[in-house]
Amino acid sequence: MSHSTTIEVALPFDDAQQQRSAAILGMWIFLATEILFFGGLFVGYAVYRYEYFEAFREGSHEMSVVGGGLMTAVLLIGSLLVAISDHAIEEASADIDQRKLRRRLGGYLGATTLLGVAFLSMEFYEYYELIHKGLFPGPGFDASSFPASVRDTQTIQMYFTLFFCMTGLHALHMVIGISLVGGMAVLLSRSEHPQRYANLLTGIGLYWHFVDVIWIFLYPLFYLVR
Amino acid sequence: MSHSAELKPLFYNFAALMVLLAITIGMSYVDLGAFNLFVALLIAGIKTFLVALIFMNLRSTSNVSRLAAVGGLLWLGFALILTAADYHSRGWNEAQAHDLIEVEQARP
Repeated sequence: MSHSTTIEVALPFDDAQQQRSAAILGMWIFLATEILFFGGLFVGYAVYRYEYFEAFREGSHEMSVVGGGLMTAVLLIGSLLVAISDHAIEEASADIDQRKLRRRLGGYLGATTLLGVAFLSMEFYEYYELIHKGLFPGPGFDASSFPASVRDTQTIQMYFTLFFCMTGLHALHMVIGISLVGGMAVLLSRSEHPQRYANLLTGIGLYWHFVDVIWIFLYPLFYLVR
Repeated sequence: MSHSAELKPLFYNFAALMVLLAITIGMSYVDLGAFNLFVALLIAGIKTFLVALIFMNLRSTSNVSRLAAVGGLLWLGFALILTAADYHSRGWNEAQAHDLIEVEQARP
């Protein structure tokens, strides 16, 4: 490894390679706990969908399929840019023009940050519309536009409860992801040796892809069950 | 330029993900009954596999990291399967108990 001289190896590790694989393993273990964190809600979804099948069908008619698809595409473009950044920082040799590398990384990660903000804007606009229509679960819930089978039993509220909980928890992860990727964009575009932060970028990239994967499941579960 | 050649899988992967997204949107307009969700989740599963393999680099990471990734899914599988078994089997035992009561009451 020609750039190993620029990477400081922490005390417990023999070499940079070992340090890197330990960092990646640590991130994957964290992501496994995150799968279970979201998992409780996914299990709850499975139970209520089994019990209130009709309510989920009716509820998803309120969602914009194309809007949700666009949100998915925005996240996937962000993932591509993060993957390219990760590739660029890993493959770059020590004699590469550091200024050029800094600018590229700052550009890709800055664009990803903006895409994340665009995703959240679309999501919160959707929340605004749903709340405006009286579809936020609670005492003010307006079920009058739904068929009697799901209106009189109030089962339709369960769909919206799960929708706001699951997409809300995902949105919280997006806020964290946007902060981390945005922070990396600033850090790397100012750093003398961006490659020093290669492991950090890989870890944050894994987090971003993970949040993306959660949305890949939320999209069919809430928008495409018609 | 071996550098740009190695970037290619990322772009191919992105293109595949976009095609799958278009398919899943298109399929939602075709009424397959209960199979709609099955198809949508199958496509989501394939997308997840592609993201994990290429973007998250599981194809060239250490085996122990792959184990951690699979471990999370395994435990999620336990939670889903055992909960589904619970809900599906509710009422089985109650029906038997009910029959017994009827038998008891039927006795003179």
